[in-house]
Amino acid sequence: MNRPPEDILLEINGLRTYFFTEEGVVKAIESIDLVVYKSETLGLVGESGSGKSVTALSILGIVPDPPGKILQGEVIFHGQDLRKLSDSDMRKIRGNQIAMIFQDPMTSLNPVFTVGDQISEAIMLHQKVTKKEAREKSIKIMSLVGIPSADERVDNYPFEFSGGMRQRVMIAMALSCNPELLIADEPSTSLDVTIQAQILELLKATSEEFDMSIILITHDMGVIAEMCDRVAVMYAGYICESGDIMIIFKSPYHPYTRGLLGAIPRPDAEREDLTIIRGAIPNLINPPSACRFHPRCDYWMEGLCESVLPEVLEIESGHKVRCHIYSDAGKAWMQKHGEAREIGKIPKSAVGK
Amino acid sequence: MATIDKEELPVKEEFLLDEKTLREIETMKGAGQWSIVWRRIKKDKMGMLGFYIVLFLIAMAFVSWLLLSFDNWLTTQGYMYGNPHPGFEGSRNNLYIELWFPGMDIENPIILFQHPRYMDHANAKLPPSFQYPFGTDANGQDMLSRVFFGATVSLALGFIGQMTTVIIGTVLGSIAGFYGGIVDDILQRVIELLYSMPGFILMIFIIVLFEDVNIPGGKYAVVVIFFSLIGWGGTALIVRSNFFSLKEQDFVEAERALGASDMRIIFRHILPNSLAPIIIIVTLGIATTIFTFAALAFFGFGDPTAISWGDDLNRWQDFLIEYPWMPMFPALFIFFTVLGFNLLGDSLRDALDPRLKD
Repeated sequence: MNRPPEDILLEINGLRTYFFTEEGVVKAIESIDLVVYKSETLGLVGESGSGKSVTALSILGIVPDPPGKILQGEVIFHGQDLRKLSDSDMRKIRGNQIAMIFQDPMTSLNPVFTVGDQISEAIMLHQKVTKKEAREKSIKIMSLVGIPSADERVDNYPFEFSGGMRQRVMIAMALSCNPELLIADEPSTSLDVTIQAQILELLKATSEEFDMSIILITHDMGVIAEMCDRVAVMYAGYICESGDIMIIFKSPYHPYTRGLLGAIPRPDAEREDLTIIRGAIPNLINPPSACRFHPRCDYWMEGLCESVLPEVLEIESGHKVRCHIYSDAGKAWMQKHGEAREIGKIPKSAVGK
Repeated sequence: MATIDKEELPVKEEFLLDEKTLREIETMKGAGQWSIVWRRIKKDKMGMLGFYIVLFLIAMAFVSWLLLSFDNWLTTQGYMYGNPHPGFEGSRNNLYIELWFPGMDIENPIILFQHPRYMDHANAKLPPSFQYPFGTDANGQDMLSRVFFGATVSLALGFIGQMTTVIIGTVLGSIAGFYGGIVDDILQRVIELLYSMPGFILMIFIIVLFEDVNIPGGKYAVVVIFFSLIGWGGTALIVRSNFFSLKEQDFVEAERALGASDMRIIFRHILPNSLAPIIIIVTLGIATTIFTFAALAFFGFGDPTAISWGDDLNRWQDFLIEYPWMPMFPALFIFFTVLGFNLLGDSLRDALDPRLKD
């Protein structure tokens, strides 16, 4: 499924963000290409440390500097490159057109101000309203996100709220200026399961009501399946596969996506051991060469994967994969070595490693 | 038709909450940080003693300031009421409180309270008595009046000196703590430079250097300015280290994502979170500052024309054996001020400690 280019809300091309720490340069994001269409929910999924949150911060231009730096790439929002905007112009976009909610609602609110003050401030930062109007609007938006008796709760401090209610406050702050794009960085991870479902339901409902796009960052494939229209799988600073949610879940092309999906327990399938992905995410100060997944990959083509970075291939419309199994170089390797590499059929050499 | 008066309906006893529960609910309602802090201070007896001492001294300084300004205003307007010694030209003021009973000689009432600058040489060096509870000094000035009106300058110096110090330290410390890097390095080297010099001796040096400079506010203005210029290091270091941990908090990132500017984040969002240590610095620092200024005056680097405890102490220090009341009362008030602020500051430090739960 490919939507026409005028439906594109946000486009990221060749984004690269490094962190210059004392231990060395952490190559958190090597090259990211991503498209977000209008009023869709895009899932960004990957292991911890694969660069999902850094991508989000890079879009907003709030990567902590020092040590972080966006080295290259463009972030095109409504046809203008956000990276070329001045700091004050960028501030007008943050929170107003692109809002973000964070993982931990317990620490994302300022403990010394009432929630009403904080929501009002978010409104007054971007709209010319009086304090009283902002407060009324805060109450309205608080009841919209399902906070009971909002007109009383508006004067409460964050510590008087439960985790789920605080996340609702965070969502209220993010929604207060009717953003076109909401970046939700693991919005449900620190909440318990029933509250998780409520918060996700709320996000889904508000995204439809406000007609906004969401980038949903998570490592929970179940959440992705529930919420998203499209999904992008990240590994160690690269997008390895992106496409329509149905296609990805049905027939993943990239070995890493396959590994992630194999690790979900499925109640409907007959009893079977869950597959695992060997090893752990690499140290990004000294990442593996070329395709960063090759040391953990069952389909590693020795001599090729560690020396040549695979190009992004469009397998079918809107479904992109970055893997040598489908590249011309990979096919040449297979012919030369007489070994077939086909997704789903783990080569004998990899079994028992 | 009989109407039922709602108030007269019998209320079932069991539904009534007792006084204690009601009060508890009331306190829980306003359980903001400051009401918790206030409750903790109220439990601390020494803290409350310090609080009352400080309150008393502030009230004293304020009232004496009002009286003195009113008197000055009257004098400049040309009103001279009831100068007890019309022939004595040395007294250009009319502030005093007299006590007169019917039947007493109307020309010679008992004077309870003299103007602090009024010199009555006939009554010099008198020990404490009913008329002069604190005695009189070698110039015949009423010691009670000197001490009472001296509170203004002594406390104001402490407040202004400490406030400017803390404001400079807080602003520089927050900026250095927030941005880190080169800004922070520069600030740290400057603080090390300031710390490497003995502060008190530096102050004396500066005062001597600027002895002839005339600026509004008199000599003490110079003293206060230089005191704050060299004294902000400690505050800056504490605020800076506080900012280092606070700026990593998620709410700072959340605020950034909402489009707030750096200055807004620093002063509107992080600073209120580090208010607790700043309040402690101010309270404990006022005591030290008053002490420093009194010490400077004691060593003769004050302003001899000012009415302040430190200057009186310096003036009469040689009379300690013969006329102990002259240096004793100003010294006693310096002692109580320092004690009061220290007790309150200690209590505040305990009360603001989030690790303590009551």
